[in-house]
Amino acid sequence: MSYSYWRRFVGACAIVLGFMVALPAFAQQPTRVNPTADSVKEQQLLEALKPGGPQSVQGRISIPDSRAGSLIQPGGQDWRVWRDTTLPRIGAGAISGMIVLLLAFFAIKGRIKVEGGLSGKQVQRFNSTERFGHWLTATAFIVLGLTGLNVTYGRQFLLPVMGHEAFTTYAQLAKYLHNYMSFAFVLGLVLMFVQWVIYNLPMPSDIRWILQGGGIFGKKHPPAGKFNFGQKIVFWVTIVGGGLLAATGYALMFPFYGGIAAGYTASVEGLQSVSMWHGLIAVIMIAIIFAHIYIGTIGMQGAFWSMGSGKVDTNWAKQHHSIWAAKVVPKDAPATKPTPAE
Amino acid sequence: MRAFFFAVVTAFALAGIASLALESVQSSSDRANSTSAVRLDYAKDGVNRTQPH
Repeated sequence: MSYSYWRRFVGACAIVLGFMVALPAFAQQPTRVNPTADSVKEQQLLEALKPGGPQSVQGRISIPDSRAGSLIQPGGQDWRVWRDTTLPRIGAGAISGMIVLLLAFFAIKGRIKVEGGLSGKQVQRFNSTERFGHWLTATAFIVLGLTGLNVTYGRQFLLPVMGHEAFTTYAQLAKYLHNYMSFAFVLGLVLMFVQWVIYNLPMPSDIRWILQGGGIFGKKHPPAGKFNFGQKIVFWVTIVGGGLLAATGYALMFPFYGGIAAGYTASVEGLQSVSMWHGLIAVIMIAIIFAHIYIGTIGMQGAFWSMGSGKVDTNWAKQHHSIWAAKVVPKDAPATKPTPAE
Repeated sequence: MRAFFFAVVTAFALAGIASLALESVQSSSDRANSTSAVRLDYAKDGVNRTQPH
């Protein structure tokens, strides 16, 4: 190889190298203002929201709570459809369905009377602590129910009647009441559970009660202890359902906190799920409690006073809770027309 | 019916006590999460303190 050949080769390499170094810088000039840059970013955002992606777009914010930086979260649309459409339909169906059922029951069976009439002698059924626990739970449940239903139906039914200003004031007060009345509700649940759990455990007599539909089928009332099977259902629905309502409610009251529910409450998606369960359990419980209120007031003669004065007529006790009555009604109680117990 | 009235009064009293307690906790938490509180913390730490990024 001649010297001139090597000189031309090195020169060519230098020129190529020069182009290689210069080209990227050269190439950046026209692409620095990329007309498609925004589209590319938007596409990336859309990709992030597709199934399998992060399912949310997070922004950067200047306050310490970084969770407030959630900008786009498509799961919120599903939650909104549930809150605005699905839950109101389920709630309306459950509550109005129960009311229709109770009206039909009342029309067919009428008020369940004390067979043989009232004896005039009374026996203590619930002491003052038991009644206090019941009414504490009941008061809180009614307030929680009304203020909770306001979240689901208020805008639809109350806003047109009350107007925006009054409804806003009421809705804010309702929200505070809903949050803080929960503590009385939980205390009531605890009191009821401690005092009554022993009477609400399954008993062999429950099978007969179930087979006779609580006295609807057949001519005789099935025997029952202090609580019959129907009351046991209400008890456990209240304890379990109320406990779940409290747990989901507090998860919503104190969002993003850890603990055993951290998987659910540590994210916006989890809180939406908790909110859906809270609403669903609430409307089902409201429907069931309607039945409890019915049978404790207009549905059955003499039933209310067990929670009113705490005392019931001995004939009522023998009719509806024969096993319990056999233990508590004095032997010298006046004989009444023998009637089967509920 | 005394148990009923006592229960109603207790329910609202408990709600009132809970609101006073939790609202005060909430207000301090709001202050801690506000941008002004962040600035306050920075000022307390000193303007020359190196902030992690």
